[in-house]
Amino acid sequence: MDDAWRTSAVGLVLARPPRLLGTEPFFMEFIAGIEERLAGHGRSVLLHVVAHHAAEIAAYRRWAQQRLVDAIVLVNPSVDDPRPAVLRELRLPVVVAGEPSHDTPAVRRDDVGSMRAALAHLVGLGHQRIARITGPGTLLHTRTRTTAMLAADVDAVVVEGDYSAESGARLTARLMTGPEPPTAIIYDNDLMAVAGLHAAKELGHRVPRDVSLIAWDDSSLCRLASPALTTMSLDVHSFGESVGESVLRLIDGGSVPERWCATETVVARETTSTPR
Amino acid sequence: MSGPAASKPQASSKSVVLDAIRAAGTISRVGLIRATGFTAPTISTLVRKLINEDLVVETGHAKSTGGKRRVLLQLNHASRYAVGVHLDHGVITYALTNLGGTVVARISRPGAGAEEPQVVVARIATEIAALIDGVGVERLRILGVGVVFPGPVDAPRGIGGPPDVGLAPAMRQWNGFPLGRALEQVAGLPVVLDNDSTAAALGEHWTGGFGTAASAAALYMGTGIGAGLVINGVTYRGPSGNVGELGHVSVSADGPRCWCGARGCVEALAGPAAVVAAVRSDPAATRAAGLAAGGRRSSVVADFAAISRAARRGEPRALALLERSARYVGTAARTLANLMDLEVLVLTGPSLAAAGSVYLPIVRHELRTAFSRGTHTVDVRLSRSAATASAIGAAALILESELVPLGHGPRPAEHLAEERTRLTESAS
Ligand SMILES: [Zn+2]
Repeated sequence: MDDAWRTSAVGLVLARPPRLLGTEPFFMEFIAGIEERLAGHGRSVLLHVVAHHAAEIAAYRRWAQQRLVDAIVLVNPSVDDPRPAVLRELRLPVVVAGEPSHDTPAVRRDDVGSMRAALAHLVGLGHQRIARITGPGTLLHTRTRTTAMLAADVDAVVVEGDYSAESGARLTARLMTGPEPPTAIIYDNDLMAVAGLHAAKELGHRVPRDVSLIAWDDSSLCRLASPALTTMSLDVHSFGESVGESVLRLIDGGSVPERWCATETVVARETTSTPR
Repeated sequence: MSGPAASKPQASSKSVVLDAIRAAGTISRVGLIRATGFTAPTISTLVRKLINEDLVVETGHAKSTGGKRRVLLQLNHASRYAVGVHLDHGVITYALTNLGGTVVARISRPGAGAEEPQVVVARIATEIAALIDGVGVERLRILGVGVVFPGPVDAPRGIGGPPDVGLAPAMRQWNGFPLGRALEQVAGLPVVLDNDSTAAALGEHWTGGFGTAASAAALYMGTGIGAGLVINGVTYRGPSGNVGELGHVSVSADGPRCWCGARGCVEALAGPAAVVAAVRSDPAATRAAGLAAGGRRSSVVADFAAISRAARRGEPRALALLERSARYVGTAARTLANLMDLEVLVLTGPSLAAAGSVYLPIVRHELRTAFSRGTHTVDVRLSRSAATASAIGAAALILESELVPLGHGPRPAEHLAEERTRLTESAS
């Protein structure tokens, strides 16, 4: 009997607390994009979900020792990220989905351009006092979006959430009951936005008349919310395809050009309008 | 052990308690007394056993309600694992889940295709072994393997039904193959078999997607359309496993002939393959959806997902075809709701992972005219894990058959609902 997929799998470890359900649609569509590129070459994505970075690193060590994967797709690059050094030490080739460290091959998202697009949509409607409920501050793309937001010509308020529905609801309530509530809120994911929408409505605010809301990561949750959420939309499947393309090049030993996703676009639905 | 789990003996009182803990998420000993009807000393003994077996852990306290604070119990998720395999023509999907049915690892590999069943079984065994190694779980914590496929389970422990009926067309060389026994021999783990839609329903039940509904169904859409039923907490399999064939509900007596032999089946008129065929017959729509031209082979599921993405981008032809399909599927779903007095319908499977936001509002709308509307609404939801639902369900099959064998009769759902509400309140 041969070695199953040993020599044909690409590893992807998702480190997230178990309570963060709902991240599935984004990652499953991302992985489907990678798989679409790899399938023609008889390769597959081995997804492993763990609770934290230490377990993620343990998985990389195990896979390297077992020669179970040919390459790694590293997601959610973070500040002072210990993982790239470990992967170098283990000689596991890596493609970063997001901002790379050093000269690691990467497929990047245009976080600056996308944040500007979100703000331009709101400013175009007449908003000035704009809040944002972020994902974890340890993630590089959270910081990049924050920097872009603070550099823009708006009255920005940035509060840190953790992608959970609970943080979306709690921070929305805190912003809306504060002394100077914003006229618009941007959320770093869909779960927080949907929970924020509920929280705003429960406080008696009409959306979008009293407060406009924009979600990040267009998903069924956003499309099916009532009112339907305006979102920043990334073509997640083609993001995955680009990553798959880079992985194939990397495994073949070729040079891997840095790739960029298209800047995210605003899908205007029912939660953004001119401020009252 | 393998074969339809329905042949299991009566559940022990220990497994009744374990299932009550699973269903509640977190629950106190007092809550368990209420939920199971057992006495306090019995609960105390059984809980101690479950804790000793590592299946249950104590986790913090419920908010005090005057008396002493109650210790909460929950499943020890990392204590046991199960492997689920969705065996299909185009792709074989593997999921390794923890005790709670949460996916810990997942991989998709090339499908069974035209290969000999024996060859495919050998490959599945090696791929399962690699998956277990990759996660680094000790073998003794793996309860077994659930395997599901698009067709009925035939006693004893094989795939099938009479030749040419039951199994989806591409899988017919598997008719009569003793899959359970063959895989058990090579993999060295207990194997349980089931139909993929039924398993998807069990997966929803195990992971809490049905809540406390007494009559719930999963509407599964992959290459075809199927449904799984969970009635009073028990998966309904029928005498021959030929249950929940929602795709073969006829919505037009004069309609086109379906591969099953009947006319006007909803799957033939509006299933994923019919949607893909309609797009492919229109060159402009094919280009707009970015479907691979004739040369490159691609599956119905992959093409259907591409059409769904095109609809999301606002391609009018793709959107119109999906909306038409959704009306047909909603019509068949209403028939199911009327027959079963459904309280919950969960939309799931890879095709609904892709197109759920188009189908959900339309199916919801169709179910507003269900007969039960005077008494209760039919709650239509999207599965939280639609893309991997069958493989997760396959894993749940082994979790259930090893830990909570069926046959313990209707559970006191209303007590659990009450308990859960109180806990939700006290947790916030
Ligand atoms: Zn039919």
